[in-house]
Amino acid sequence: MAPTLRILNVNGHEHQVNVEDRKLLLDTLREDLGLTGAHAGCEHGVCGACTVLLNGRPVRSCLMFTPQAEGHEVSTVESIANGDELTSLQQAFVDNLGLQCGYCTSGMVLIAHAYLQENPKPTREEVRDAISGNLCRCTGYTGIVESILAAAEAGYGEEARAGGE
Amino acid sequence: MTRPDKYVGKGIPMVTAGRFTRGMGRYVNDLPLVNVKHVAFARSTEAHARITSLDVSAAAAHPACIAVYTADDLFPLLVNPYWGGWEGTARAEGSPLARNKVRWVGEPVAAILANSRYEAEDIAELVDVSYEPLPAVTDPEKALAPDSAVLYDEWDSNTYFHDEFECGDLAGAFERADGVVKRRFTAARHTGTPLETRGIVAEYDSGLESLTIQCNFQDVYLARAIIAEVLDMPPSQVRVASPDSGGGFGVKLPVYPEELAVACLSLKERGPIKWIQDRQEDLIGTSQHRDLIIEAEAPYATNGKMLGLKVRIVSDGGAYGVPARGNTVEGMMAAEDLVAGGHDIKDYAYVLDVAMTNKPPTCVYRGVAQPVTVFALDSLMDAIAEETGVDRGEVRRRNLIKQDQFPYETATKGYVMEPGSYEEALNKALELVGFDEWPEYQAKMRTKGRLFGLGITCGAEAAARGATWYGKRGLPISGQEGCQIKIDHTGRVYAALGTTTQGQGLETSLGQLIADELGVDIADVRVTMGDTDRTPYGAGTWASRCATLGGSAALRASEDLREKVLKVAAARLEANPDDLELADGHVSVKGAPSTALTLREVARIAYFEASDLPRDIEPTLEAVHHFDPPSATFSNSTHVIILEVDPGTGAITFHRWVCVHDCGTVLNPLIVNGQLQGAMAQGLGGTILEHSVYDENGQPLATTFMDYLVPTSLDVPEMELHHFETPSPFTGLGVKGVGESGTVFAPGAIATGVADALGVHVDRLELSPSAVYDLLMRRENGDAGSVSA
Repeated sequence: MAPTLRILNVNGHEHQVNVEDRKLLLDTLREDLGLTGAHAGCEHGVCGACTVLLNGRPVRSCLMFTPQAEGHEVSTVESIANGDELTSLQQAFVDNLGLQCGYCTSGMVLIAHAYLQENPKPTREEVRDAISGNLCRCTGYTGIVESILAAAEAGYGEEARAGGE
Repeated sequence: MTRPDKYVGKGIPMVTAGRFTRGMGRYVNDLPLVNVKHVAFARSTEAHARITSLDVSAAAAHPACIAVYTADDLFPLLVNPYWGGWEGTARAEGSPLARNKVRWVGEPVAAILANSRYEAEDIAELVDVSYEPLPAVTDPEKALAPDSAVLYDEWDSNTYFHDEFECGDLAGAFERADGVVKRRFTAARHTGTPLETRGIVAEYDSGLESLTIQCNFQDVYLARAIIAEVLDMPPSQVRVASPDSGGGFGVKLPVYPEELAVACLSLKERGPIKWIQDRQEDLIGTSQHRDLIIEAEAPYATNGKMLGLKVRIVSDGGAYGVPARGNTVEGMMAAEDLVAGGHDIKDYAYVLDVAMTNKPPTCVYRGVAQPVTVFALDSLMDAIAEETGVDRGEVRRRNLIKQDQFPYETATKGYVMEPGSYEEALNKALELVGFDEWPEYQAKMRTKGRLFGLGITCGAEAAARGATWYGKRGLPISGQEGCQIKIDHTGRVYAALGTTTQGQGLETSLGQLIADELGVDIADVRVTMGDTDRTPYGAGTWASRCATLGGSAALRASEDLREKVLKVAAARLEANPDDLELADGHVSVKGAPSTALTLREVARIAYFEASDLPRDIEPTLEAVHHFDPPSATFSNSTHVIILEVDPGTGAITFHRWVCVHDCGTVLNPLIVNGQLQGAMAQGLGGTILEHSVYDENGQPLATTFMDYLVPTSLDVPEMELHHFETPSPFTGLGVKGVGESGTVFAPGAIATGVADALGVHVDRLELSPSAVYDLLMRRENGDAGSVSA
């Protein structure tokens, strides 16, 4: 299969990539753009470790072919922090043991980032529901739920929404 | 953060966590590589068959194909093709790629190299294999029958390992007994499924004649031993390093055929070779777990005391002997840990058979056999309660080891158990859920048509086993752990351990311990792990051992290093080392804090001004200590679950889950609770959701996360955790293991809860809604006796 030149907008920058049409967005981000924050966990859309944002909404980059991302704004976990400084959401994951091995964390951070903008003050049950499409094998989810609630309490959703406008 | 007086005991956030929230983890699939070749495997579609022809010509002719390898190419590289290795096991020839025969669906048959994984997978489809199918052996008991098909042609049966043991006066126990409960327990198959699958990069340098392996192995020194032995290379020419690992839970301990194949391919190709497992390959090819049958007879007295135990255990070992770790481990540990689980049982006998079957091998996964032994023991306790009328809490109290019996020597293998808080933990957990009012509450809910049940498990988790368990059985598996600590010339601290990290937070908890001992800020302590060229010898990460054994080594190395610091400072201050103290980054004269040196100044003296020092002081600041525990550590816990069964669907709802735990001194409560919660979630998953299902032809039926269900945030309930801290006299700081405990005690607590809700015996650890619904139907049909779902 011959590669085709594609233009992707990732984390606010335009990139040219020369890839086969069948190449998954996940693999293009990781192999061609060096953005290894999104991870392959199942490659069939169940685990959410490959989550990225497409026009601000979470999608599974293992279920998208690279050409399908053309003309859209793709954001990966690498774009969330302010340079080297963690956002209050990321800090909450650190402070509340919202991760152990770290493999699901990119997806969890992005899901929480998008969800808290929609619902800045969720209940515990709502948080559990919001992350239920992303698997974590280490924490039993308690630390993740606590992290997202703490970030909500710190006003992350409102802040991120204001920042995105 | 201001430096606290003491870091140990505080819930310090993981020092490594920040980079993971930014996507800056460095897992094996993230490593930057040049000129790497990617592997895809053509795999067996048959569970048991002879290979009648293997045609790779079409694959080799593909324009993107770099090379195709089969067993004929790789097998000659192996000097020791006999895997497994436990004393007393049958010799089972292993090969990285199937040789003549396939023995499970998914067994690698050919390896294809290409410049991308996409291309390698395309080419793998062109490999043409013809099979002569043989009867698939999928049931371990039938596998042992004389008329069964046999997996290994040179064997006359599928018995891989047989063992018998008896101790105490079991015949006397049966004679003295007021009754005997007989039950049969089975446990379904499941697997570990870390979110990051297995992956390896191997690079042979033909100039240096050295092989570098970067792989998410949990035990780098074991991997080095196996790879070096199999390939006949000096271990010192093989470097195995583990980068970040996205979860392990035991399944990344073995060296599997694929990893050996990649190492062989690197030798053949003389360059870097990479294989990253996909999820389907994981679900059909990574080791699986449990698949045990325990038939138990327990004589008891009318006061509820179990007087002895006699068991027959059949373990489904799967298709091949996993190099070194073996596939006898579930069966062996079941046999030994039934009487090393915190109950006072001295009269005991077991008969154990490990059978080979046409499924992936069973090997080590969080808790190993203990989830099944706890399930069996607590179910036996409930059966005795039912027979004697003594309440379920009291039966357990009567059978737990009493405080005055410690140190307690176990009936098998002579483990010496240290004191814990067995009865206190049980009492506290029962009190927290209102156990005394439970019958009334349960009856009230029943009148409303709601099926509430209370499940209990209690006892000990055997952890941090020393050399006695594996090493004495002829395996290259260490019981020890080493730690090297250095203070650099600026006074900052660097520690190295042979353990690996999968998120246990060891960089933090050991950093706390070292920072306390050396009086430095935790931000100035860097802990690295898991690299045979750079970290001291050790056995890696398993058996809830890292904080216990690595922590003990780190503590002693810190103590030695502290002494060294004081010696150097004493020379400069012209004081006696005994009159000095090290705290807050300073060495000062006790009682005269103005006479002091900073640690940086001491380091400067040691490295650059050693000419001022007495000649018996080495001009460096470092220490190394290796720690091997006397036997093992035993943390204790009680889990009490209140659950509800939906009479319409068999689904389980958890209302309360109380865990009272004692892992001795808690280094970091945030991390300890995280370990417990994660382990409990896995115990829940393995009981009600996760099942590695095989049909009678040996075909796997759960090959994606759509069929193999890992618990989500909606499946795992809130958990109530409480701690006692009874320090272990056997380890530094009194730490006992914790990592597996939640998984050990969860399944039995769920199963005894379901049994209580339905008023039936639950004899199988597989409580999916349909299995529970089946139990419900039997209850309605008035059959409360033994039920195997």
